[in-house]
Amino acid sequence: MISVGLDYLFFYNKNTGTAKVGEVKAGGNYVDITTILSGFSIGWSHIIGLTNGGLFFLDAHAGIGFAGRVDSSGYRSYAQINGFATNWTSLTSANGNVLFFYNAPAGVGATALLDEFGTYVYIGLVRGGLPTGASHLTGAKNGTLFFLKNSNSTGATWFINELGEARPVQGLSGFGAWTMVTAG
Amino acid sequence: MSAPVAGSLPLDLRYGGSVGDGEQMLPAIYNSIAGYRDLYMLGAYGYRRKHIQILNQTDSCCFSDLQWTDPGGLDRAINAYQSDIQFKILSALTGWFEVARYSDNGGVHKISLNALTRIYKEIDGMRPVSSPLFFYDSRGGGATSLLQSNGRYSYVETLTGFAKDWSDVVATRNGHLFFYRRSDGRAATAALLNDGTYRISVSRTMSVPAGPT
Repeated sequence: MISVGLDYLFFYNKNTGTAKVGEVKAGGNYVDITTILSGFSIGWSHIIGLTNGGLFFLDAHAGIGFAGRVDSSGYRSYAQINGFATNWTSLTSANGNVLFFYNAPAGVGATALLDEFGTYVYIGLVRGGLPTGASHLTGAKNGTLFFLKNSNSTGATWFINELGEARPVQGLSGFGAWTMVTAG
Repeated sequence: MSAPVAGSLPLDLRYGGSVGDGEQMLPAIYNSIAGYRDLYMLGAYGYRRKHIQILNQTDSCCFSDLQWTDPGGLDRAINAYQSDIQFKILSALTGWFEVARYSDNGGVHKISLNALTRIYKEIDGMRPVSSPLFFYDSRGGGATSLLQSNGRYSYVETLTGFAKDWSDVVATRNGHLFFYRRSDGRAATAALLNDGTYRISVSRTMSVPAGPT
């Protein structure tokens, strides 16, 4: 399940290649936007939603991506995007339109922009100073990335601007072992 | 955010002093490439973009009721193109367009106090905000913290009493948490505010049809 746009949810079943879109309305009430949608690839290892309504699918093993969009009328698909590295272990979004790819063992990242019409623009690699081995990664709407490494209770924050430029902000320690971390 | 003040108007709404100089009327641009309504659209369209067109209601120079032929004033004509552009911008789900008219300019061609106040308010509203962070532990615990606008982290509160079998927990960008159990489609929501506080007061328990995970 993925949060996309301001209040939409995208459910994806990897086993059946189906999906569904819902919305969390004011007051916390959930409503279905679509019925079950079929025909999705079963190979997506990562799906991430962006605040602008964009949806990005990644098959990290095949190095294939796909762009879509969610809005009040449901889901629409755009196009396949080829040529991704095959070693990304996490994917998140931040600052509205920025995608952040993360290779945890190597401590390497990359940024790209995706607009609401499926236009994908690769920005570049992020090297040097990224945490290695983070078990959780989440991006916030204000551009902050949060890394958490459960194995040694440390964390870190980075900041990504709307152009996809990343810089380190803060090293952290003293965390518990959390099952999930999510940013609003 | 952009806020042009005391002008312009679309060419078909210009009379008297509002007609303007040659560069405002050049057919090679406004007849052949883009009209003023198109330019307003371009100013308003885009993620986090706002175009607030500020006009003086009475202005001895131009672009006000004083140059308009209908004694009822410009409001009706302005509302028409404002609605048309707002509809297109809202359809694209990104951007904002608005016309704001003020009358405290003393009838002359200047930026009024109300116009400046509106501009400052809009700029304040565009400043980066803090983002809340929610931690969930399958032993039933939780915590919230804050990612500040400069990227720094601060702890907010520790929480207890969560169900231990949520398979997914996600925060939406509009201040909600959605808890989901894949096995049977059970779900719940709560509020996660921009200051990092968790509010169970709006919690709902619902059944989302099981299927997609």
